[in-house]
Amino acid sequence: MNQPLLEVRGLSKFFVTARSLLGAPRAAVKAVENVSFAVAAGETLGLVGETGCGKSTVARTIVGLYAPTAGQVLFRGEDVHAALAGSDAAAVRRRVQMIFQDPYASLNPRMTVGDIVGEPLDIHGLAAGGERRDRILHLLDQVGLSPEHASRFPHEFSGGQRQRVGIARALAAGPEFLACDEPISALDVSIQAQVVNLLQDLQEKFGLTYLFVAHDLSMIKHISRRVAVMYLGTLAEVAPVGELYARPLHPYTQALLSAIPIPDPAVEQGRRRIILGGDVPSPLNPPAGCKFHTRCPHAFDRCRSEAPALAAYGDHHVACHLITK
Amino acid sequence: MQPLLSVENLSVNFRTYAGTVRAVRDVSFTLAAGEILGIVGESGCGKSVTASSLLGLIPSPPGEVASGRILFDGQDIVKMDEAALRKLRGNAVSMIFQDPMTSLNPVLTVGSQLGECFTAHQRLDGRTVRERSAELLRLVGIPAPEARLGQYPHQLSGGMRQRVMIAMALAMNPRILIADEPTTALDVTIQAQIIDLMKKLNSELGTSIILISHDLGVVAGLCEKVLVMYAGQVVEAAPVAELYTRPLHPYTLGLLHSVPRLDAVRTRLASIDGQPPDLIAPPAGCAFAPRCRFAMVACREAPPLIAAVPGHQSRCWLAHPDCPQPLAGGPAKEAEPA
Repeated sequence: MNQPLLEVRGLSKFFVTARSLLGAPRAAVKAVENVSFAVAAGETLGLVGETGCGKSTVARTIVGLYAPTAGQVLFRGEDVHAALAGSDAAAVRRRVQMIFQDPYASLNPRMTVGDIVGEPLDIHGLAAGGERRDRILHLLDQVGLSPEHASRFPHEFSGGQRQRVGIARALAAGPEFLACDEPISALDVSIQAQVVNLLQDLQEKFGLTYLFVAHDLSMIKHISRRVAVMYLGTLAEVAPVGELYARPLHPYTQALLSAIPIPDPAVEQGRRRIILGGDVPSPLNPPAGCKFHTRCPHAFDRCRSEAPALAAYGDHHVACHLITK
Repeated sequence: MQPLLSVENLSVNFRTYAGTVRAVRDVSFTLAAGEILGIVGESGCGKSVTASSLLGLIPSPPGEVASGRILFDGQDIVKMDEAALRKLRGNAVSMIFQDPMTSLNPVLTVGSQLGECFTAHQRLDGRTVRERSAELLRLVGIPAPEARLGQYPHQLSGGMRQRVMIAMALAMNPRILIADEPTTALDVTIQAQIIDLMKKLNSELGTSIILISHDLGVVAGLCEKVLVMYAGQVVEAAPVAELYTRPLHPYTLGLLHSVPRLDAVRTRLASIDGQPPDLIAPPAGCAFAPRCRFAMVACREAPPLIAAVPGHQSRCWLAHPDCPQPLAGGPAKEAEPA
C-alpha cells in the first residue's frame, strides 16, 4: 500500500470518570488503547467488536468528535486533530464525514429534511439560493428519496428513510471518507439490505472510502475489503476479509465467528460452537496482560502478564502470544 | 395428540386517535408439549402482540382481543379474569422480555425480585425461598449465586440480567416459556450462551418454548417449527428444515435473501423494496403484494393460508394447487442473486 488515505497511529482515548479534589484524574475508562491501522483510498475497512469494545469511540475520534488522549489520526498524511484546532478545521470536516447509528436521534426534529441536508452546504458555503435547492434535490435523489420529501420533517419518515436522510447529509459536503457507525443496526432486516446496497452504490459512484463499524460479522463480511476486530479497547486482529473469515488466528475472532447463527438449520446442526464463558471485563479496570485472557480457552502464563503486540504475518495482523508459542 | 396450547383465529386491535390498528389478524397455531416454536417477522408484524396476548398482557384500553380463542389445558385464556390470569402468569406460562436492562426493578435486589416469583404462587418461608432462588441462579449459569442475590440489577452485566430474567421465568417450572427477542439486546458471544441455555432447559426440563425473533439465524439453530408473520398475519408456517430449504412465501424468500451469510458470498443483497403496510388500513388483497416481485392479478384478492405440502402452509396464491407454476422447489434457487 502506498500512502493510505487515512492512518491511525497509536490512538488512545480515555474518559475520566472520577477526579481528586484538585482535579487530577483518579479513574478513567480506557475506551481505546494504542490502536493503529490504515485505510486505503476506495476501500472499506470493517471494524467489528462487542458492546463497549471501543469501536464507536475510534470512529468518533477519527472524525474529530473526540480529541484523542494519545496518538494521531492522519488524513492524506495530515494530522486531523492539529488541523481541527487550527484554521483549516472546515477543510478537514468537509472531507471526513460521519453516518450515525440512530436515525431517530441524529436528525433535528424541528428542521425540514431539505434544511438538514442543506446545512453542510450552508456551513461550508458551498451553495446558496437556487443552486442550494438544486443540490439538495440532487442529493435526495442520490439516496433514493423524492423531491417532495425536502419539505417534510423527520417524524414523517420510517427508520430506513431517515437513515437515507443521514446519508444525504453526510454526502452534502462532498467527502472522501465516511465513518459509518453502525448505520444499519437500528433497522429491520429487509430495510438493512436496502441501505447497505445504497452505501455500496454510492461508494462506487463517488469513489468513497468507508470505515464501517458494526457488531454483525455477517454484514461486515459482506461489505468490507479488510476487517479489524476489537476487544476491550485494543485491536485483536486485522486481515483481508477472505483471510480473516477462512483462517481466523485470534481465539477471540474464532469464538466470535463460531457464535454467529447461520440461517440454515442443516448447517446449524453440524456446527461446533466455541462458547466463551463469562462477560467482557470492565474497561474501567481491564485485566493485566492480554485483555482477552480471562475468557480465552488457550490462555497460558505469559498471557496473564504481558500484553501481546499486533504483529504482521504478511497482510494478516494479530495480537496473540499463541502465534509465537 | 392434544396440543399443549392452541391459538384459534386470534385478532387483536388497538384503538388509537388515528384509527383502529389491526395488529394481529386471524392468527392460528398450536404448540405441542416439549416443542420449540419460532415466530419470525419484522418490527410491527404483530409477533410481540401475539406473545403478550398468550398471557393476557394486552393493555386494555387501547388494546382488545377482537376475536379468537387461546386454549391452554382446555381453558380459554382470553376469557379468564384477572385473578385467574395472575395464577397462570409466571406459573404455568411465563415470559422473558426483550430488554433485560429495563425489565428488572432497579431499586429491588435480585434476591427479592426472584423470591417474589415463589411467594406469589405458594407459601414458603424465607430460607426456602433464598435456597431455591440460589438454586435457580446456578441453573442458569450464574457463578456465586448466594452473593448475587443481595445485589441490585445495575451491578450485573446485560447477559447476567437476562439470565436473572430467565431464572425468574423458570421459578415455578412453567410448561410454556415465551421468549420475546431474548437475545436482541445482547452481544453474539453472550447470545450463544443464552441459546445454549434455552436448548438445555428444553431437553432437560421438557419446557415448551415460543421464541419470538427477527433473527433467522437464531431461529434456525433453536426451533423445530416456524411461523413467519407479516402485517399481523401468519404468512408461512413450516417445520424449520422445510422453511429454510423450500420457502413457499415470497416474503420468507425475500427475508432469507436479504441477510448476508457467514458461509456464503453474495455480491449484492436482494433487498425487499418498499415498506410494510399501515395496519390502520391494511391493503385489501394480499398484504405483501405491493412489495412482492411475483405479484399478479390474483393477488388483489387476499389469499388464505394454503397447505401446499402436509405441515407446510403459505398465505400465497403461488402455493395454490391450481397455480400454473408450482413454487415448490423451483424459485428458491432461481431467485438466488448471481
